[in-house]
Amino acid sequence: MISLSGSPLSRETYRIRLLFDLAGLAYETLDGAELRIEVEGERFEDAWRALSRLAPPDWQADGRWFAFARRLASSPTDTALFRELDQHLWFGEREGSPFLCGDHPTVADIGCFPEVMMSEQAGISRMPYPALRRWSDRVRRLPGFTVMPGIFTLPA
Amino acid sequence: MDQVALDEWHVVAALPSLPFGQEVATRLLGTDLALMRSPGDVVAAWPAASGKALPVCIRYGHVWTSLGTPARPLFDLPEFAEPDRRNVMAGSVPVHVSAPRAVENFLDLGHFAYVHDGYLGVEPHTEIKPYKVTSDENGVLATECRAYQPQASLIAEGGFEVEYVYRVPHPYCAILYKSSVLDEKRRDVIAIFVQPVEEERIVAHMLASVLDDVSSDDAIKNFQQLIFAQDKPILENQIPKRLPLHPRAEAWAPADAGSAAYRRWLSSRGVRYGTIPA
Amino acid sequence: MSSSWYPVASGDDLAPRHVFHTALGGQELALWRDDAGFANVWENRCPHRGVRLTIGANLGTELRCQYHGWRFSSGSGQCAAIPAHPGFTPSQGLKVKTYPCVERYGLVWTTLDESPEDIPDLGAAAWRSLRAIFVEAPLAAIAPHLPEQTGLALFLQPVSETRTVIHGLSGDMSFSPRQHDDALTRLRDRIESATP
Repeated sequence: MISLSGSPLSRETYRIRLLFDLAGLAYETLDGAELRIEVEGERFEDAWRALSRLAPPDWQADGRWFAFARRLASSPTDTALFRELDQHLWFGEREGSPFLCGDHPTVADIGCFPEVMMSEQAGISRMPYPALRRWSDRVRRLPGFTVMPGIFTLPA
Repeated sequence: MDQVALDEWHVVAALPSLPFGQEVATRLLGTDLALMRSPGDVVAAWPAASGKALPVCIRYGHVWTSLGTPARPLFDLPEFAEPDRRNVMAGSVPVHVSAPRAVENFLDLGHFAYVHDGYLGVEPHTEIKPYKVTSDENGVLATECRAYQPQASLIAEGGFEVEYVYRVPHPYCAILYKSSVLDEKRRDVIAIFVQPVEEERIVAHMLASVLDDVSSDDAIKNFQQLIFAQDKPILENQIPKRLPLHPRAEAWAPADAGSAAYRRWLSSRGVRYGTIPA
Repeated sequence: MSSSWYPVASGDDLAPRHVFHTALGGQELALWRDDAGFANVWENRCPHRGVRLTIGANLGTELRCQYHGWRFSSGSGQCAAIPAHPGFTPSQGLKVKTYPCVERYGLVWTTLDESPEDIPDLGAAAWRSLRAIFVEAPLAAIAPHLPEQTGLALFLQPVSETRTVIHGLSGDMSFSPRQHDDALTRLRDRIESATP
């Protein structure tokens, strides 16, 4: 049994919760502001390790883009990373890869999503990253998608 | 400089957030200030540039000061003093928008299903029936405001129609009253006290003064913060950031009666800071 | 800014049920394609409380504002529905400001002017739109450095005084889009490091 606690205003907590909700993993939500991920009583110290270990096989990402997501999370205002992501996604759209690692979403997409969607609150407009904006629509339309405050759902 | 805004009391901190004996920097109406809390809940405030003591009052769990000469005391909020109230300082959040835009958002009834979907509103229950609005020199009052809410408060079970009263007793403060789930003759109070840091920047201080014998302070605080975190991106995406006071600057629907009265009241009081005057 | 039509997006940018965000001469724009394929260029601002329409939703025939759910019709920009008042017909004057829109050579063109000059004529050849490059520099800093190459047409969109987009069209299939992209990205980097 998976249990998760953490602030609903935290990007870290949302990242994990989004994996569970998109991948359809059952979990219970516990009270507590601190991020806590426990599986069968065993605690995950590292949220990224949890993302990688708990993602079902079809949600696994290639190393490069998972590592990129970690870099983006630790430098959420680095516009060079936004540019790199936007360029990758633009070519991906034309080469049959609407998601970071190919034709279906993975933990790399989930990994990047909170920082991308909360960028404006950090002062970074997404206007210069049009492919990124289209990608965020695709993520928001995935079955099971849930929000954190600051992110809005899209109609079906 | 807007003398009307200058002569008001303005909130500058939630009292529990101030450590004892340590200078805390803040900013009000474009002026850098320093605050210092001492034992006995005494707080001193002074402009960083001059060191000259400013008037201070501690009301409703928050610290208020003025850069001018207030003509009268701060508005009353008698519920705060009731012995069985839970008074929770529900957070102080910086937002890149003007104070009047934040107040108007707090008064707004038509956004619940879109901004607070599943919490304070849900499609298709979007109708806002007519409500009553009065105003005088002391502020604006909107009564008989009704909205269908799926989860109107932490201890509400299921959805039902909630009746609200909104009160604006200060250019940058708004108070919402709704029937208590525990005692229908009394009301829960949620207030937003907006600190005008600059014309287009604020800190929104939230107070929940509620009847609730079940929820922890953290749970009450978290709920208010969650709701406000949903409003924040809307506020930060409004153009212009200042509130236009001309009656035809923006479009109106009947549900906006409260905000129309608020804009007229600001004009009649001569408040300019954070607005685009008519 | 000259009195012109400017490219502000490629046709592909206006994906189904998407709202595209850009600006021209400091005027923010929300672009969206309806389900019938019609491209709209609108002021990025709901007439109600001024919220950016780019955080709203493209419903296929209407654009919905995220604040109060007001819906505006494709083409006219007129308000079609106000959820707080179901069954109430908004007045005809209640609308989003719209701008003219022409799609040509795979790009979406608009103008802020009443009587703009014509869209440049690139003849009858087939053009493929390249990835638009956002440059944090004014248009005047970029124009002198644009490469001249047969089979490559470059247009500049002044987003604001400090930001410009380079829209490229390739008519020469022997160059891959990535080759062009690399060259334009290097140009961007050179211009940005020279810009204070």
